[in-house]
Amino acid sequence: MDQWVSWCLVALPALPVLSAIVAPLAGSGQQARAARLSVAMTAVTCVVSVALLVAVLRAPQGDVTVAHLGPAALLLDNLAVAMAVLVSAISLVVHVYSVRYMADEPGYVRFFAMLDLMTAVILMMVIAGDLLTLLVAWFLVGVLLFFLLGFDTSRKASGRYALWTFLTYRVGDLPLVGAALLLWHGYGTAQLPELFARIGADPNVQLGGVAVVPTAGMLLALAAFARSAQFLLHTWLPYTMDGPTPVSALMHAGIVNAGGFLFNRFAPVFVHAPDALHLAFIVGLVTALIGSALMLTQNDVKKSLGYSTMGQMGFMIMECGLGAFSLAVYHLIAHGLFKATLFLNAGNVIGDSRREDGVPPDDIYSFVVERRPLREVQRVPWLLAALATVLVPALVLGLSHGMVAADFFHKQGSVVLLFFGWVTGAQLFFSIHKMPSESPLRTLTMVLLSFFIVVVGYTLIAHTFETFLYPDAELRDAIYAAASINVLAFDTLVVLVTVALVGSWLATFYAHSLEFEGKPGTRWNAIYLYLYALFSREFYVSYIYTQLARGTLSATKRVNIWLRWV
Amino acid sequence: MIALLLALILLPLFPLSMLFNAGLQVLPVWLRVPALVAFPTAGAWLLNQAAAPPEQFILPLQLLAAFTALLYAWRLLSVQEVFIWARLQATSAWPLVWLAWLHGLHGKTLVFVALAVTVPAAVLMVLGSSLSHRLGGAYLGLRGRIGPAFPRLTWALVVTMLAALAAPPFPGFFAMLAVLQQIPTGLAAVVLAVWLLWSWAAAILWQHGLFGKEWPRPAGTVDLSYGAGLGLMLAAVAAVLASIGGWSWWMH
Repeated sequence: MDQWVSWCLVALPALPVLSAIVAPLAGSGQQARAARLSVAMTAVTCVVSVALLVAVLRAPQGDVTVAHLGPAALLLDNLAVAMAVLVSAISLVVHVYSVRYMADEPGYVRFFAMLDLMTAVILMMVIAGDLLTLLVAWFLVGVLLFFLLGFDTSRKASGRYALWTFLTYRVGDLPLVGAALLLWHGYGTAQLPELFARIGADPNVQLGGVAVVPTAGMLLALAAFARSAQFLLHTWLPYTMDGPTPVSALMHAGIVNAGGFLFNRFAPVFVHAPDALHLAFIVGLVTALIGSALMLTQNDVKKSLGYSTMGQMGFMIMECGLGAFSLAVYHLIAHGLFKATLFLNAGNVIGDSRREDGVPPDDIYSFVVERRPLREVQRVPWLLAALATVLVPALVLGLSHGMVAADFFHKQGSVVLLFFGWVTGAQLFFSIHKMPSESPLRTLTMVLLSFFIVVVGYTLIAHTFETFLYPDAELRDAIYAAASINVLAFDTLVVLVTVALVGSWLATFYAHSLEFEGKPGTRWNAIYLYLYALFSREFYVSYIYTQLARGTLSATKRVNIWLRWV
Repeated sequence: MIALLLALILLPLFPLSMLFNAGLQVLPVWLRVPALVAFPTAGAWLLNQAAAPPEQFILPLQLLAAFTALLYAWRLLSVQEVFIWARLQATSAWPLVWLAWLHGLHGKTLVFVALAVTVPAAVLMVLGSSLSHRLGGAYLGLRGRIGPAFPRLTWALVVTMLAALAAPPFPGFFAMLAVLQQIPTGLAAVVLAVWLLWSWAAAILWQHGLFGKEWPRPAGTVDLSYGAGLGLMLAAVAAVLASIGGWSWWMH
């Protein structure tokens, strides 16, 4: 590619760093000027990332540019540019939003400087071309997040939650250090393109009796789990709402998605590490289920949003475990955009709620959340609803995917994803049967059309995006093949998941008539209350960690006193 | 053998480390800083001169070094006094020099590792003395945050602790990678655990010193002078640049 592309690549992380240095100096005594400068620099960064996207689109397929910024190698490929555009765009929105939102906060200029630095290190992370640059950026994201989340130093709580986040991130950094050292030792290079080429040539390198690639794959997966709040490493996420809203938006929209990015960046490693992918599927599935369940059971709106992100991250990691790597990136972009919108709009929602008390009457809300039966109204005929529920999603999903890629159904991962799509679609159509409407047939037709447009549009975009991210068809197929399991295990899994999903789905719908609570005083009621406590206390995971940490701290105090602090 | 024994005193492992720490504690503050830098540097230099220990001592030495590093890093979690924090952190870092040496790291790199993990602790001692001068003690978390009263001193403290916990792009980060590259997997797990404990301990100390109600009140207190702040900032920039230079050299 042209020389200007290399310059733009270097400018991408350099501009925000420059802004972090210049804006506080230029804005000394004039806070607004510093903020304006920071916004302008981020806008330029965003333009640079778009220019790089254009360069990548114009270049021959699979062309990769490597530039150097000091000792750091910077890599421009399709994944890097997609992530860079997303990060710089979200950062720009967050910067613009912060200009007024943070105006009354002490440390206004410091906030913009840290936001700039965070943008720089995330951009550095997504365009890192060697293991060391990736490690440096990965580590620094955790450090900067600590100070951004703990921006309001007057509150002890923000320090406490920033500490949890920092510690979890550090736990996740260590497997990445291990993976990097293993790959570096095993293949004798830290440059990513060269490393991937050597892995492709000989994936079976051993180091002291340890198979390098599968072990590195497992360590990389662990690093991704910690960064993307997977179950047992998730407790920091729902509690980070004490940070400023723009930071929450940036974190939920960008930083937490780094796990999905890591899977994609090391796709050539995961091709030879199927066990890591299977583990990712299980961990992702468990996280998606637990995150979604906790999202529905929390009575704190902010925590509920945090658990919603956890559920989404679980789904994203599960997609990686199924071999649908590009879909995970598509998912993280879509999730990033809608979650950022939700967070940045939170102030408006609070304002609206203050002006107009109470939740607006809504049939779905009253039915799903409040569990109140719907009023008696006309419904779609039962048989038509059943047919639409079972057949329409299957037909629309199957045909649209079949038309886009004929070999789609040969991949197990695709089948599982289709299955999830079918369950979601079926749930949608089943809901219509229960929904009150003046003209049920017209509603059904409208929903059918919307579903058709969404699925076909989504399928086309997802397929185009997959071809963009992974132009090499062989690598695409190899990832899906690595994620496959034997047929019997696959069929058993599908049956089990079907039973679990359909069972819980029916239970949710008939919760009211089934009277899950039971009569007070009965054993069933006691079990129900225990389960309720378990969910509302978030499975006591945070509690256990807190107790363990307190125990450790008090033990160190005793030992220190015993050893007289020397 | 004599060089090895002297190195054991200058780069102390448990239980000699207790004697070393007790000695540091009784020294006047102005002597602690040069002692903290000079002793381990001399220890690393002596290790470079020493012959490899007899075969039967290698495993016990490794185990002792791993135990010392873990013990001191773990003990760091409950420390709120900056002087104690600095010397315990340095004591937990020195065994890593031993581990690297036992697995073949020699020459300038070994001295660089010793300096990279020790100098931040020495700077912390200077800042501890500065805190002690202003607050009557270098103890954090007794009342509340010190940021509003001493912004420059707080920044210096935060940056130095980042260097002490071996965060990039400070030299300690590359020193840790150099150690990790040298040692086998089992010991690497110990070093990673020590690294994690440093981060945890630093974050706890930040929590005590940076968050909470404002204390002391800004009136009547004096922050670091602009000159001292600028000097510390330039020193940090120099360390980062040297570190990046080292990184560049190491990569190629």
